[in-house]
Amino acid sequence: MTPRWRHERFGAIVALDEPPLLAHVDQELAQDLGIPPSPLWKEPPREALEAPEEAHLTLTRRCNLTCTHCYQDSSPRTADDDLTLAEWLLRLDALARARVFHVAIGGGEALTRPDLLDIAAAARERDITPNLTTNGTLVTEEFARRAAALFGQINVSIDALPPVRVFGTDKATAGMRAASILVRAGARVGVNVVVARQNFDAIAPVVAWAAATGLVEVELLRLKPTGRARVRYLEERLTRAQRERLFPLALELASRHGIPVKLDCSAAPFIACHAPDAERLERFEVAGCIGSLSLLGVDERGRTSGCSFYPASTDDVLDLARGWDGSPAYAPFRDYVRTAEEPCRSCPYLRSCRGGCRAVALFLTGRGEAPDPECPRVEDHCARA
Amino acid sequence: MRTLDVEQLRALLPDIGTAGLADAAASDRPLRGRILKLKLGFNPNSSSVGTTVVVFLWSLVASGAVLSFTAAVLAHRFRRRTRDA
Repeated sequence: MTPRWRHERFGAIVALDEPPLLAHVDQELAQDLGIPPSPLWKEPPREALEAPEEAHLTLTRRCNLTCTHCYQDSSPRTADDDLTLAEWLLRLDALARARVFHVAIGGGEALTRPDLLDIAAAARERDITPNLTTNGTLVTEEFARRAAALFGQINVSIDALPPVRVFGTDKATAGMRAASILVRAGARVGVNVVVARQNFDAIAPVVAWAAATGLVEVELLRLKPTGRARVRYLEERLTRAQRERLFPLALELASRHGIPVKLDCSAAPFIACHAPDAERLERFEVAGCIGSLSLLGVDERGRTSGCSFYPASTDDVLDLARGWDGSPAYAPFRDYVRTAEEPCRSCPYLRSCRGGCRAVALFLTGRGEAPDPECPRVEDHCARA
Repeated sequence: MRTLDVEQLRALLPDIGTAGLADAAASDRPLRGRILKLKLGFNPNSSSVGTTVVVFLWSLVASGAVLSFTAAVLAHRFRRRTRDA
């Protein structure tokens, strides 16, 4: 695939699939690469990009499993009112017109849709790189062979290795098998681990297994209080000690096993509390909430949101060209830095962390624009107050 | 003409590979401008966006080398695109 690029006010975004990267380049470097100047370069800078870099597509809310921590409340009984293939193709057209670079496809379980590979192929035809998250239970040799040629990367969800069983389902055995099949088929494969109180000590074995199996990375995801996960969130969320341990643990495991370990955007406060180099945070996009700045959530009906954990708006992604700049649904995300309350306002990491997770704030305080109450700095501030 | 120390960069960035540069000159001339932000890898997770903590294992010198290497990769790819067009 040839390099893809898109003008931005600061210069351009350049995307490669091999090696996989997104680079924001200034106007001078953009021109040096042969990218022509744009009228956008005369516009004042702003935080939100001109369009999303990446969209998260919930192709379906149906799932063959019923995990207790599911952020979508998915199950085999979930009503089937998903967009059809033809309807998704129109949404992919809208994303392609906006020059979105990547889509992350998930659910529910996306493999319950027989047309999943058609949708992925349609994204490729539109110069959009499709990526996939799956629980792995429906992965076959034939699927793996076709998927390896289509997806940029496939992550399998495994929250602990057997015999440890968490979140009400035993999906790890099938997930481990699926990961091995996909690796053998030549796919680029990673693993997602939702991290909660009960499986915190199970992270290290998953990382060791991933490295030994030839996976390319491990992503640690903070449990979020949405969907079915709301029910037991207060008992299952990370303790203060675990939140503070997460970042050093990720570094230790990455170093020990020689595999990249990622923390998801909601974990930014747990990185910031260790006072890392702020410039490096920004330069290498170790970012907090980027909902509606460079990221767009799209639900199974095509409705958009700042991120997949936040309630969907009534806007359809078909109207992305108008909605991206005009929708009030993105205000809790876009206005955060400008309107931040204490202790975020005076935090040196405000611009990169952006107040932690909006979904956690909405659940615990009733206000999506509040500082994340599980940030150690916020917790200390509230205790003093 | 400068050449890349591909082995050194591969050690820094196992994920990025050599991008076909193992036998190529990095650049005919120094690049102008700079990379403002760099996000490595894909993000397959459909609910949130992950960022690698590996960058904190790099020394300051190495993080500069990663950006220089990436700029060289981009220049190489854009030149190839022009050649192939």
